[in-house]
Amino acid sequence: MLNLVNVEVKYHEVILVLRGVSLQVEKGQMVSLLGANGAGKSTLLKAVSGILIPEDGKVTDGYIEFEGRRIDKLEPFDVAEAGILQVMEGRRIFEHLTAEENLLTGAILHGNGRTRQDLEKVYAYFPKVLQVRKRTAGYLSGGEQQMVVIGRALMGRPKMLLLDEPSLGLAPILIREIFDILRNINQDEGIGMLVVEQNAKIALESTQYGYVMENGRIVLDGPAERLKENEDIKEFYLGYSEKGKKRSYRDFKHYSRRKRWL
Amino acid sequence: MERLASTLLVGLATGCIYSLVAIGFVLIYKSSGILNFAQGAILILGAYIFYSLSVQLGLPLPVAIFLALVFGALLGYGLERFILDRLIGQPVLAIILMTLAFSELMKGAMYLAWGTDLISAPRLFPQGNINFANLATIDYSQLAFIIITFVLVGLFAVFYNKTKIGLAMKATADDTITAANVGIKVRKVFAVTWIISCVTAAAGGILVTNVMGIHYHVAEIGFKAMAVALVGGLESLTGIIVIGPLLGIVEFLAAAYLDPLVGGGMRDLAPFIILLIVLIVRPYGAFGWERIERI
Amino acid sequence: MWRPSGLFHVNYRQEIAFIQTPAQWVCLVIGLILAYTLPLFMPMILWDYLIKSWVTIAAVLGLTILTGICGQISLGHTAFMAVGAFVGAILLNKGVPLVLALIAAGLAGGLVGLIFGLPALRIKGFYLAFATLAAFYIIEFALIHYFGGETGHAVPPTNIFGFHFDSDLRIYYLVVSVTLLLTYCCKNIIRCKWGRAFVAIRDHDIAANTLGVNIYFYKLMAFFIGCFYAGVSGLLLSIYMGWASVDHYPLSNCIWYLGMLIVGGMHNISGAFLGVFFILGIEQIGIAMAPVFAEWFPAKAGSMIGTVPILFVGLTLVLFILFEPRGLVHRWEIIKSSFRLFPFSH
Repeated sequence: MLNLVNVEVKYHEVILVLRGVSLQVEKGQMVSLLGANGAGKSTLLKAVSGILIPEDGKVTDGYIEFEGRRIDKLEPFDVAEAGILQVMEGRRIFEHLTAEENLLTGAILHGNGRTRQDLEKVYAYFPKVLQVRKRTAGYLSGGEQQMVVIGRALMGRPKMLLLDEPSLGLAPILIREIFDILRNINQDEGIGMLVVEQNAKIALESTQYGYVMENGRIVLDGPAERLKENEDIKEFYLGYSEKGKKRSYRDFKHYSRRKRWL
Repeated sequence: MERLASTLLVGLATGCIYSLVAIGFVLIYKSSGILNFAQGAILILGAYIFYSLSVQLGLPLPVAIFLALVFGALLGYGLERFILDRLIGQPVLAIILMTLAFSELMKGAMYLAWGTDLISAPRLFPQGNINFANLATIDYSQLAFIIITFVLVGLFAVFYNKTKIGLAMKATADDTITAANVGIKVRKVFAVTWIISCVTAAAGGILVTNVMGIHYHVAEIGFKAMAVALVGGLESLTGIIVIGPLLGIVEFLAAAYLDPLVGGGMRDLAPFIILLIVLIVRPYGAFGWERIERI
Repeated sequence: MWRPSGLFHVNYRQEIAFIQTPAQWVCLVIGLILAYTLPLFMPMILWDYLIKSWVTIAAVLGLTILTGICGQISLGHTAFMAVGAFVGAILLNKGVPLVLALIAAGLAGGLVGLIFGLPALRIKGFYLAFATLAAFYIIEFALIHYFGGETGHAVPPTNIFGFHFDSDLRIYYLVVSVTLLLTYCCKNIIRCKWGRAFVAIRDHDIAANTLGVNIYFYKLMAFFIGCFYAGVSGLLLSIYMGWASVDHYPLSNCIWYLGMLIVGGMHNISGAFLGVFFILGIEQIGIAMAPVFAEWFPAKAGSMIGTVPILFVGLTLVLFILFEPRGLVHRWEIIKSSFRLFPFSH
């Protein structure tokens, strides 16, 4: 469904951030994108959804396809109309509107019609939002805001969701709750998802396929099960080291295992 | 006592016009962060166009008013299309200067087209005044100001709060990039914003010049409207509706009671003095959102 | 500041010196000679343009410090010029020597600027710009009603130690000398501790505050210095015109001055010079072209003289903000660096 082929992204025409990235998300699939800070994950999402333009970024090579149609040069509105909606990093919520108004802004995309039903559906997925729907969104807690933002995206009846670090700044129990709901949405509605995450554990447990990015390149990909077992992933992202092995100075000096795929 | 009441009413009426123009100003600021110093010039341009249409071309008054407002809408749309793109994200100085320079440009063009003499506008309202139980008198035209402003502001409030486009405008004002993300056509919202602003400015101009005569100096009402917007706080529309008439009242009271002491001119000065005082006490205006800065 | 490679400084004095390469010395000497001999090359018609340019440069330098370097937007600059002009005229009429009158004019402008700069301690950006606009109206009101501003004051002929400024040429020398002196002071202010404090405040005043820069003091000082320059400039203009009146300092000039900042380049002195000469030059072209326009539109011939320059300058301003908001200095830097870096692009 979503197909990135050798995508290269530059900011301000000189700063190369994505160096030939290729990535696929099948219809109805939930895919995670892992990597450290600065790897280029957010940029990849922005390249798909078109928000590079206000930030003076451009796709300078390669192309992005969605359902067979090229979308790399489209404005954010057109990408949203095509069916891809992004949930931005940091819970960008309309602070001065109420939670319900926030959800309603998501419905503007599709004009009139089943707005009432869409609203009910979102409240069914996120009962916490139903409770706080009349409160000014800026005063909600982080978890509630994250739910509102995901709900707002759902109101736009997307075919695919791009989620940028949904676990950012949330308590672990909330992270689990949100990812469970995301999995439900994925399975019930058949909405494809590309989830950028730093929390590799929850990402690999919830998604079916995973990509690992580093320095603007994809360095590893595979089904989530296999990634979870991969030694490098375990050491760098999941925090496991070989049990019983004493870390000797020799290892450091010889850089026997460095966090760099060339 | 009657003098006091009349002064209050005149101030109220004039203040309503300030509110009308200030709403347009604040709309533009809220949605795109642009400070439209040219609001005053647009106001007087609307009046000049109305004059040309009705007196020089001889069109009937309602047609002339309608066409002048249409012109305002087109001007707003044109400004949005050709100037707005470049201005978003620029430093404050560039934005302020662009609209100021634009207003100077329009001033030059208006002097050229209509000369520098005071022109009297065609009468829109009947002569004479109403007497309220011998307590106060108010001109028909001033009464019209108040009524028309209420109607327009009421319409606008309904539009802003109950319609989809109104919600889109609120969202864009809150966070433009997120609004684009959510699927709102931000360009369209900007266009609507500018059209509303210019139409309200033109309407205000047509109304006010009925009393003040048509001359570029009337454009200074634009500054007073901005003062209203600032005192009310640039983000709050309710603030403007309250502050406008209040400032108008203060202005006329100052003119009535202080002018003899200082030799005239208080009417133009009073709003600015009030502005300075309010800004020093509450830096973001009486109803404004406080800016939270993070390092 | 870009310097060529191969320039090695052995002590701090060399590091902060004004002139660092022989080429810069040459430019300075040529520049000074040009400044003083320019009227001799130009037709007398243009002397008005030259004198007005130098006077405006003094004012715009003040604005550069206030707005360009310290970031406090001021829409009322001409009001402070008027203050200086009035104080200076009154003093000159009482027989005070010219040099003292100039200093007093500057101090008057600076003090009034300081008072109306107090809001800058609480508000920023657009709010501050509007407060300065309010200051303009209040000052104008005060001058008209309390300082004889309706008619203004005549400025008597002036002299320094017997050198009488009675011809345009001599007034030109006075104006150029004072402005060059002010430019020197300005450059010094910018490169010393105060200049650095101003830049810190412009870029992020709260962060500067946390680093120990006393932003309240420096903001007020920026207003003081900027309006000091305005005051001196105002008096110079009145000396040239022979009359001090509020009509010489209208609100639209404030806009033009800010425009000169933007067209030239906000953040440095060369920008002020470039902007002033360029914009006033465009105005001159407008005045010269007015008869041409009058021919095309004979019905409006009378008002052409007043409006064509305004249209030209306004249009220039709008075009610059749209296409080159960083000013002529920026464009010049790009041209220089593209020559330097040829054949690479950056």
